[in-house]
Amino acid sequence: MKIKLSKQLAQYKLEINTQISATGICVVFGRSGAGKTTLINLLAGIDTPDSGSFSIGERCFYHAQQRINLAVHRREIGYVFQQARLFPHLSIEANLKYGYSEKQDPESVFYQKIIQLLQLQSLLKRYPNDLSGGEMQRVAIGRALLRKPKLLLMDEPLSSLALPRKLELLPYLAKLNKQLQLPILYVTHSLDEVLFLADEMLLLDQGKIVLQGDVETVWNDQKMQPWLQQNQLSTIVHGSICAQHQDYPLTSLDLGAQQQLWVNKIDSALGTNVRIRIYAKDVSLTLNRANIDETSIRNIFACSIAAIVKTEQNVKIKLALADNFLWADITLWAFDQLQLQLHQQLYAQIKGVSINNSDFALPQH
Amino acid sequence: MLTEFEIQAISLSLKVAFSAVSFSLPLAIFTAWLLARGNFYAKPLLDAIVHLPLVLPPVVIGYLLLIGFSQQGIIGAWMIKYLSVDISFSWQGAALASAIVAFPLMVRAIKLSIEAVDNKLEQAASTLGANPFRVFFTITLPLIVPGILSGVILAFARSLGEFGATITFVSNIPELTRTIPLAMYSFIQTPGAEQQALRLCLIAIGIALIALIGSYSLEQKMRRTIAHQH
Repeated sequence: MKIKLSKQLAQYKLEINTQISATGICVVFGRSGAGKTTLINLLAGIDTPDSGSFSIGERCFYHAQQRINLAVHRREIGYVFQQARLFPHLSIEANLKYGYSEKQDPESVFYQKIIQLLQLQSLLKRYPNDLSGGEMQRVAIGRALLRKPKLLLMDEPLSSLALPRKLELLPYLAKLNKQLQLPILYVTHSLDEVLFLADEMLLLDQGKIVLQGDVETVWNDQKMQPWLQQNQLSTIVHGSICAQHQDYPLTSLDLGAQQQLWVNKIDSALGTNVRIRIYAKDVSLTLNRANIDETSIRNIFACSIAAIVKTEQNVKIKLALADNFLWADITLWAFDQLQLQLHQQLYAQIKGVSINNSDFALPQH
Repeated sequence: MLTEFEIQAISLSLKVAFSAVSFSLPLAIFTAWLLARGNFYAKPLLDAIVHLPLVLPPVVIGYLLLIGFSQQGIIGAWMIKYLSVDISFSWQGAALASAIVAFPLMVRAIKLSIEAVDNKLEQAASTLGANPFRVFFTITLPLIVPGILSGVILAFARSLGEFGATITFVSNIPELTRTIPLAMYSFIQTPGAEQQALRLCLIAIGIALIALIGSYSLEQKMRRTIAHQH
């Protein structure tokens, strides 16, 4: 997917020039007003860019010089809006079938698959006004999918929902991508959604791409830190389940290079890949390794200092740990007393109990 | 109970009003859609022209129709020559006069209801592959049915009451163009016919009340049906 678009907005000029892989979920992340929705509206054809081009594979949707600008209804790009936008005068079944072609699906295999995937069976005869917010959004997603789009755009589809509804819907979204092999461009300003869904991540600010890459790389980049609020400064590490504790409800994760991290029990098979968020405030530093029978800390790793960022109140230390990175938040006082230097070898201590279920995600692959 | 004369006036009035409304409805919906959703240079001009009959004295409308559609008029002469249709001094002429006078009321009501349709629904429909034509007939039109209904009733009521343009254009001919208001006018002009005038007056009030109450409850019912609320 090649995107090269520019559009003058009231506050700034949106300028995007990038390539996005045609599989997986790419999350467009940024503050509100960063130009996220404008970007996907340009891709859908709802807004018109000033110049540039946009194509997926051989298919060109917009090209300023060649005067190509495909109308919205010809683009075959699905769009799930912030609000469900169901048609109030049509039943759920009629809503779902609005963009669906029975000719293309003679045995209605695809139709049944979507109904099942999103568990819509019991809703079919009802009307939008009878549905809860989560149900409505599920119908909206099904409706967009049944159109058989080549690309699915999602504009903060969960932001209008209360937390329990969000948690109910997230697994559906993760499943979608895996089962339908449909590229998804997902706009959000929620870090939890990034963590749960993203394969690729695109950080947008003032209409420009600040960072782009796989989630771990972007999240752990220094430029990303201002977006992770003060108390939210955290690192994403990647690991696979390598052991379950015999006596205690704990799970050990293999982070590579013989480093193991104990976390609260994750009920999944050995070898499952997981993504863990470790808050910088839960990481402390020590120059000498404490004996395991002298400290309550279970996770102690040898590492080296990769970067030092001083702020007014504290110091953020970026640590290299095998092929992962880790951020630690310490006070200025501690920093001065330990006389920490760049590339210095030391030990990071992570409170395993602080990692709970809401902080890990099972990647889709 | 009703005299033959009254029945004649009532049925003529209803016939004129029904034709006026049903023939102008498609054009009114199209005009309302243009004014609500269109984006073109001459929009203020179109808006002004549509609303003109609302502010002009009806006698002006009647006079213009007389110039245009009488047997010697530009359009009237053409229609007689090529279509063999003469609408001057006929109930069709009365219907045309009513349609023009009632047109702005109908357009206004429909335009308001189109504007009330959330543009985002139409946008969603187009992302689902519907062309503008399909969007209009499957989304916009069903959602504005209550607005169309109130526009129709308003226009119908205005047509029933049309006097000035009608008497100027098609005159006051018994059995042909003498609708309820014109019949009342004749009675008022005739000494000693006060009682007949009063009867027609009550009939006019009765018809208007039935139309308004009927439209109110129908509109309520339709709104509920469309939104499927209980």
